[in-house]
Amino acid sequence: MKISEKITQFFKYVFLWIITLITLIPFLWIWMSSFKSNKEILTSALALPTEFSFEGYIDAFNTAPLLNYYMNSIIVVVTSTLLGVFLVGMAAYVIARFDFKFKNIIFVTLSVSLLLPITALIYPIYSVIRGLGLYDTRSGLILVNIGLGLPTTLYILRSYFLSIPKELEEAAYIDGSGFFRTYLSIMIPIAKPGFATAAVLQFILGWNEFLFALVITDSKRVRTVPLAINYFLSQFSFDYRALFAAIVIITIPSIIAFVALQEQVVDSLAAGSVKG
Amino acid sequence: MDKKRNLYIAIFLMPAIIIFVIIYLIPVYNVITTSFLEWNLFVGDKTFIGLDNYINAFTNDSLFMASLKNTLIWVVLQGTFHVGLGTMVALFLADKPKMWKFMRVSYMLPNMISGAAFAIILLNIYNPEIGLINQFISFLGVENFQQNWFFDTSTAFFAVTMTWLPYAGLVAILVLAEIMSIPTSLYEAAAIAGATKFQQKLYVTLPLLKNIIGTCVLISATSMLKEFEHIYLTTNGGPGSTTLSLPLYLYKTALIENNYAYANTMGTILVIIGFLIIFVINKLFVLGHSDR
Amino acid sequence: MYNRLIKLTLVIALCCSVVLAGCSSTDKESNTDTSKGTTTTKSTDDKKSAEEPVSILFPTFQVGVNSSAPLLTENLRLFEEQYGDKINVQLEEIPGDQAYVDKMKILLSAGDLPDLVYAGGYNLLDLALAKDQVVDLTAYLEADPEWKESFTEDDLAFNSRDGKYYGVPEEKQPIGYFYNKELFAQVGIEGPAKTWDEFFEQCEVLLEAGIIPVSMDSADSGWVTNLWLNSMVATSGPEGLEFANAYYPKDFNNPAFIDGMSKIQMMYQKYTTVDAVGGKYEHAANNFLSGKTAMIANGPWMIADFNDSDKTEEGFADKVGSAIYPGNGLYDAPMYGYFVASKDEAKADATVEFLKFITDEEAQLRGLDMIGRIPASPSIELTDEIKAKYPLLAELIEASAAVEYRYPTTQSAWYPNVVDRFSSEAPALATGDITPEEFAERMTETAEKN
Repeated sequence: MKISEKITQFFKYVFLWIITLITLIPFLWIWMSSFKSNKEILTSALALPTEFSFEGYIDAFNTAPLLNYYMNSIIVVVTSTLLGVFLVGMAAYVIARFDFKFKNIIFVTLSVSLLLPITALIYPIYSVIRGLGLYDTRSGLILVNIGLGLPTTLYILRSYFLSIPKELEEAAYIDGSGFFRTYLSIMIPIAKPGFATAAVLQFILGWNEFLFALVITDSKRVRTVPLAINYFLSQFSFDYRALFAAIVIITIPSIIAFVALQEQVVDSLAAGSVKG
Repeated sequence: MDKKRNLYIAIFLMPAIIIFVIIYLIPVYNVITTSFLEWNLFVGDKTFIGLDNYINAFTNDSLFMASLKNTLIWVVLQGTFHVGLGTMVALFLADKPKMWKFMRVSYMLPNMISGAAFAIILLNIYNPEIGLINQFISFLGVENFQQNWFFDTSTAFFAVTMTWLPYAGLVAILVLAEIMSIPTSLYEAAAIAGATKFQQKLYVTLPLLKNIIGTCVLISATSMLKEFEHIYLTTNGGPGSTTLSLPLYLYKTALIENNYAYANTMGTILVIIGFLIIFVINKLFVLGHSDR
Repeated sequence: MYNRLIKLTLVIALCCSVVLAGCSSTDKESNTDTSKGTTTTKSTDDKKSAEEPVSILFPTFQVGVNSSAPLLTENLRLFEEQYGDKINVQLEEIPGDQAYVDKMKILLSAGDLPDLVYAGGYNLLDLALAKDQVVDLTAYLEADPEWKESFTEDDLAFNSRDGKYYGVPEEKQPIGYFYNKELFAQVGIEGPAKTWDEFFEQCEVLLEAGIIPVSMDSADSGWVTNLWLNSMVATSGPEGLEFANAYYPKDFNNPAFIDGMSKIQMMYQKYTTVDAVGGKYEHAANNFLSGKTAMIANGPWMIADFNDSDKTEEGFADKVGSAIYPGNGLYDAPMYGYFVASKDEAKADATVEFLKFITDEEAQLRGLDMIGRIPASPSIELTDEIKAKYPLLAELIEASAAVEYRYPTTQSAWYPNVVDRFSSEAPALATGDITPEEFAERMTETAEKN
């Protein structure tokens, strides 16, 4: 290897590690703080804990109905991720691949969802969910989550479908393969990296969605994990340690989902399913 | 055949359209129509006042103008700097350096922590006394550079802008997934033609990333038209209106002042700006066309 | 080929419906609680009463780390014991004060307010009255003199409009300030200051000895800072007192307010911690709890923290003294309380029954004993036992007897958008980017939007 190339290599590594540190520090800080006492957190934010205490974790489970919310979140978020990516993916596919009447109008209209401020959504969504009889149900939350994820999923999947060589599909159609079949057995596998990424984003969005989880539910039976965080912060009272412990517990599923889904991206590459 | 094809297209579009109708149709209608009214959510009367809200916003409301300016700057920064950084990281990661999987997960971490939690972290990192940044500065021995980053008028805007950097990981992940799906045969061909790795990236990879980079620019830029949680929970738009963004001002107008008509006026303006952004980006990146 | 396609569609449709149905069936199962409520009311109308309990919906933010949470849990347990067969209280836990207000506003605008609503501090009462969703409590209070007498006339008047009672409070909240006796003794200060001049002299003495005098903040609503501000305004003279006692002021361009703000500006610059500018309540509280600052203005709910070993060192409570403000002032104003928003009579009756249970003298005594909450009733006296349990509370109540000037907190007296503007403008004032006059101008501008 030439010297100049080694130097570029070196700087590339330094660059990547600096960014790794910047993104890792917040999480490490929360994780470390979850073992400290409140007074340590607020007085010497960066010091290591003087003694490791798991009380924060115990308090977290005692103060908020964490387990309960956790189970609800898993049901709601997994369902809305699978359904959302599949259903919106269908629209993204035809928009990316076909020309038809009103295509531009439909796409532009759907794009509004990318731009509407949340405050404009609160009251109408509350009324619609109430009207559909979905108030305080998991189905209502699933529906809203899919809706909130619609713009990003649509744009990302459309972009992936656009990048897939047309010949593949045409070959399938010539072989006599039908519409659904081509989508399912040819397009989805090829766009797997795109689906995996869209699914991650939909998952994270649903997992952290606070406002509608509050507004369209009222009982512990259906409420989800983002609401748990608020149990540790009241106007004149706080428990940072338990809060941080709760955040650590809450963030883990997102990390697992991400790692698992990103493996899909690599797998599909290794399997060599994409050959131009 | 054509009829059948159209039927399938309709079936494929249907779920997304139904979801759109349930979740977004009424809000869109509301936002646009009520922006011409004088209307407070709790006092029932609605009076039609034409363009008064718009005129008021542009001529009479210094907070609106300040927040509009901030928002536009942030939109541009997000669409360029942010996406550039993410793309660069993705290109580096694509070579699969040591521990690249670990790096990939850590780049995504800020996106996984809820906004409320991230705001608390940011406040502590920027804290003038115990915060990481000022401690680091004092470690370097240049105490003069210590600042109350979030709350000093001269540094607040910069400090808030920096807080979005960790989110560039999202762009990196999106671009990386696309790079992963580029057929290796294309590189092989380039290598046979004698292209160096760098040249391969420049002439093979980048052009193929046009669609996803365009999409990332679009998503990042328009996210600035919606996001307000971080600012709300850290600087709250202050000091003064230094870091006030249009979505945050809109949120305050709606939920603190209960002035729905005026909030929706700003909402309509945001939607118009958003469409302009989408239009420009589509033109720049020639999005929407398969090019392979 | 076509067949497979149809099969596939069916499978997908089935999957979707199974998932959705699965969710909604579990939902429905446990949803019966809600529907029970309505069926019961219908049957009571048909005079088939008392078969099933009336169900009332009660959302509350008194959960999690909120200092009232243990009391509410106990109240609910006792109520269930005594009235469980007649009234079923469905609790909706809404952690976080802001989340509570946001949700109530949404329910309010949709006409779906729950049976019992807490209006304290956020003035939801007038919004609900404008929408005609509040139950008139006058008859209920007249019918039960004992309940009515557990509130002062002032409190009741504050919760009435046009001669009708709409709400009752559950407590009193006198707010003075706390000081660190040990730090005071170190620099030879004998006790809390009687006048503001003396107060600033004390600050100077503390500062010279290397002790930071006061805890301050600016984030959220700038709560701790505002407590100093309004006290200075209220004790500055008749005009100041009038302004401090005015609800929803629109004009902040007056000498008392501007003078108060210039003192606040000086305090930010000289007498408080560096992180006060932009700091949250937590930081201000911690600076006092860790012995870094000598004084903090705050209400009696903070007393519990002085004994919390997770937040401060052992024995800190013994070092703390409680005081009224210089110039002889104290936050002591009537408070908003709960109002009833039931949609039919049976539910309203049941809700009032529950409201009585958590606000009558017995409940107030329970609150005093359990969490040191100060009773709203004028006739409850502190027993020696309580005095021994909450010495700081006793000290505050004793001092409050001689207080000359009483006024409400800015959080309850100002428009919410003004409170918010205060918080985002305060850092600019602290760094000297704007003058107190400009600050007052901006507050006025915001207030006039209402």
